[in-house]
Amino acid sequence: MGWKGERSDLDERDEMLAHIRIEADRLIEEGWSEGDAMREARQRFGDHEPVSPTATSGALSGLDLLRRDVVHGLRRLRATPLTTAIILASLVLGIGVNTAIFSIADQALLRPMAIPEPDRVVQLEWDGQWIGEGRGWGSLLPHPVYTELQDRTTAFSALAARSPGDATLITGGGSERARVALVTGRFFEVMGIRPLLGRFIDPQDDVTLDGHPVVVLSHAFWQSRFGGDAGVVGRELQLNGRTMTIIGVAPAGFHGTDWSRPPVLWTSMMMNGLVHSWGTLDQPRVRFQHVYGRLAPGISRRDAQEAIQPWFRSYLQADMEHPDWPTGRDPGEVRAYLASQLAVQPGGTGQADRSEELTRPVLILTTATALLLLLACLNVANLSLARSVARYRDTAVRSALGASRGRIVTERLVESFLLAAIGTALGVALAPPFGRWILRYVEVGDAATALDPGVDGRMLAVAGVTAVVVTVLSGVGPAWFASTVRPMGALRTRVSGRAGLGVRRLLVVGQVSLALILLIGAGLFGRTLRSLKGTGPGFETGQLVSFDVHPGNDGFDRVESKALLEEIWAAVEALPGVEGAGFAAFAMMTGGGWGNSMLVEANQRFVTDENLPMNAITPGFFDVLGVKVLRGRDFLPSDRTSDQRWSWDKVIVSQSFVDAYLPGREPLGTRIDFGRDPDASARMEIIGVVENYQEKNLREPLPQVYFPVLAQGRTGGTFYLRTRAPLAALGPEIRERVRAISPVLTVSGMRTFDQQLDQLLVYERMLSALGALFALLGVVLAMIGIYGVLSFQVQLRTREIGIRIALGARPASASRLILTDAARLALGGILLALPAVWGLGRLIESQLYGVRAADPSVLTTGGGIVLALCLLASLGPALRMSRTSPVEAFRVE
Amino acid sequence: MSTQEPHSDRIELLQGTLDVLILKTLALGRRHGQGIARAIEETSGDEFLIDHGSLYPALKRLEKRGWIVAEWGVSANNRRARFYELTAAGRARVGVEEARWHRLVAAMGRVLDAGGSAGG
Repeated sequence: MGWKGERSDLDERDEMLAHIRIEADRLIEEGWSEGDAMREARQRFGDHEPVSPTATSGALSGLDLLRRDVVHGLRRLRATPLTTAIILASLVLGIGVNTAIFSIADQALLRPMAIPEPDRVVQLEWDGQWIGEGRGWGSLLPHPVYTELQDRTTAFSALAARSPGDATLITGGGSERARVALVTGRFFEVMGIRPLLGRFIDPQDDVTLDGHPVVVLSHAFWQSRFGGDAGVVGRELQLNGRTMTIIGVAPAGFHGTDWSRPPVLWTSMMMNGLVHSWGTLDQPRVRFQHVYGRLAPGISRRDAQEAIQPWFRSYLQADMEHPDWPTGRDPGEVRAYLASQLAVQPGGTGQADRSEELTRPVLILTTATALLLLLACLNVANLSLARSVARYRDTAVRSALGASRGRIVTERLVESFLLAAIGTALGVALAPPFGRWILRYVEVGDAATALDPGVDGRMLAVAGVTAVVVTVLSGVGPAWFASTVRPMGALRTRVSGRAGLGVRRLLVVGQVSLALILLIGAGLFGRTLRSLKGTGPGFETGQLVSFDVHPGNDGFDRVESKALLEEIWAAVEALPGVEGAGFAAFAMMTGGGWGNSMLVEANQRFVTDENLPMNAITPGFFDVLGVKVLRGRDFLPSDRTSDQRWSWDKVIVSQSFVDAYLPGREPLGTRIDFGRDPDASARMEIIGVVENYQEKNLREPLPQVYFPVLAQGRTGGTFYLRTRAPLAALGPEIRERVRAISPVLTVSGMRTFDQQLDQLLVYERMLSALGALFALLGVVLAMIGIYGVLSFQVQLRTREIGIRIALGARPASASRLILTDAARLALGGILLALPAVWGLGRLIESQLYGVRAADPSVLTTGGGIVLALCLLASLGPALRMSRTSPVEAFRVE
Repeated sequence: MSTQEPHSDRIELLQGTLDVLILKTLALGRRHGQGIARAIEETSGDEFLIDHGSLYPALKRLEKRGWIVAEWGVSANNRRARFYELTAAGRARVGVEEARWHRLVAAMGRVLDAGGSAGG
């Protein structure tokens, strides 16, 4: 019978086995012992992989063939445990990190809220010119837009507004500041979810201003503060001093529309005055709400947008007749206002995805993770290729015995896939703990409660795709190599040759370059964090401590609040170890705060085109911070009017304000006012200029304006103390003093200024910390690659070096060969990395501070570290090379 | 450690000679792979050492051309082995190859003798 096409693999194996056995039989007849005969027979045949004696003959179906491939693949993997372990470790690392980061990024940016039909949920946005107070950005709308629109359109099956705020909560045991959300009556209808317990806020809870003291708890808050008590509905808690009734609990997956600051409870929009400082809802000049809607059946986003524009135009027209409408506005600005549109945007993913502040770091992190995965793939490809080359002869014999190229390639691919599958399984299993660890490590605060890096379908899908990509990337090289093995040549030459070395060297260069990219990224983010911390807010922060008190939230009116705050101020200033105390209406370095445009009376009257950060402070506040008054003076107790009140007729500005708006003019005595109306006369006089310091964040010093804090009814704010006492000792004392003044007052947010800065720099710290971690992993992987390739080269050149040494060359020169080679690989990687660094620089530029993406010192340091580590990795092989003895060298052959 | 490498004192097989040796060996009866190698080595007075890496590709090649067929059977020592035997085409081929070889040897001899007399 003639064999057509490829013979079954089993036949080859059997035939090889038969040959060896018959040869052994013959040797036994010649007088060899059985064991020796078998060994000798095997050796005469050639040193290929052990042949399975259990193999049975017969045709194999495709499935059997695959099963056998898997079994053989596993056996081959076990035969080289170290290589297999390193390959698996690379894969688990790459895939685990990748899956964890993807899962976080997915939840943060891509995934819709856990609600039914999220694609039917839309968010309304003001598209055009806004005239009014700025308490946020474009997606915020004034309350009247919501109230008027909901009566006049059928485009939405439900429409709702929400507004977040911070409040003091007292639940049984303790009191705390926490994030809450105000929502209108049909918010949960828009979301389309059912309560876990009780009921949600509904239109009946949205009728009378200040008349609906009800709250719905988030699942997390219900669990942590009420122990998941099923009887919680009907119980009460204190919100800013007001007793509120718990009417329901939200389901576990629902974190509101902004996962980055998930609220612990929802209350009625009618309770606005309890949470926000502006009590009324009907002002068209104040925008503070996000408006969400659920599209009516059969209505598209475009339909809805077209349907509401006629109404919106009439709303804008009517708005100009409103008593609050600012007069004397630039006609162009008014025209632009009237041309504004109300855009209907997809709202299913909620609020957080809109902020560049968050998306950029996540994008960078995802890119870095992808680079790390690619690096891991190169490492796997490198090691697999090495293994493939080591089995050169085996492949050649099998090819000679009739295994087709297809079979051999399939076997290699099966092996790569096995590795990828095991690596993926382990990686996915480790991804959730790894993700949780990352979230803890970077301390993202509140957001962590809404992000759960658990295993789900999307994550598995991503992991699956990753596994396939890894198989292809890491398996094709070795498979291709195996397919090029020519039986005749290979068996004759016997030495596996330098085959594959070129490809492996390229892979190593790729690894080095990826490691360098990660290293440079880590360097840049590290430098950014250091510069931001180094720059600091412009004053010494080491001994500053702050805490919040809001008597207005604890049930006191404005007059009482003011008195209490002054009492607390005096009390904490008198504490031993406290060198000074000041009070500010708005906490510093929170990234937000109070801002307004200002009217300035210089040569001519003008309104600043940007909102200036501002704060209201007590006399001595600048001294506490250590900020110098450059011109004029600080506020003084004597600035008070005869009835002990402060007025806002005197203000202090920062030097940058003078530089920006009063260049070359005498600032003292210049009159300014809020930028409502350029035709009104300015009521405030500049009495002092202070040196520049950062108020809101560390990046941009803006012109700033300061008012005396206790001028108008101030119901709460933040105390700042300069002290040498540690916070742990001072904290309890402060609480005790405040309790002595009034036991119902809540002291919250006890922190050092540096802790506040850490909180502000959460994304910078995340990028810096994870960047360093990724760089470390990347460098380790690259070092493994270099070590592997150089070791192989040493093995190849043993004979050559042996001859050289026999001829009198010094061993050191042999080491130098290897070290030079390592340096060459490292330099190749460095050269390859440079264009990529330049390209990726654009991605990260906006996140950097105090350092350019192409910073020469970071590039040089990164390159130097990579070069040094490459040489370090080559020390082992180089030493082995120098110890080559001529005798051994020849024996190997 | 490489027993399959030709010893220096053995004659290396010329390209294409292994095929005719296999065919000739099989003309004397069916044999398995190890038997073929052994027979050639013994018949040549151990001048030839058969490289297994060449033997099996050669057998495969001959099989493809339809000159030999293979079948699983039992060896003298009761081992399962794959036995090769000549087909009719193969049997005819032995004569062709033998004739070609003799022509080659004769030609070689003439050239070498001519070289010898020129030198002498």
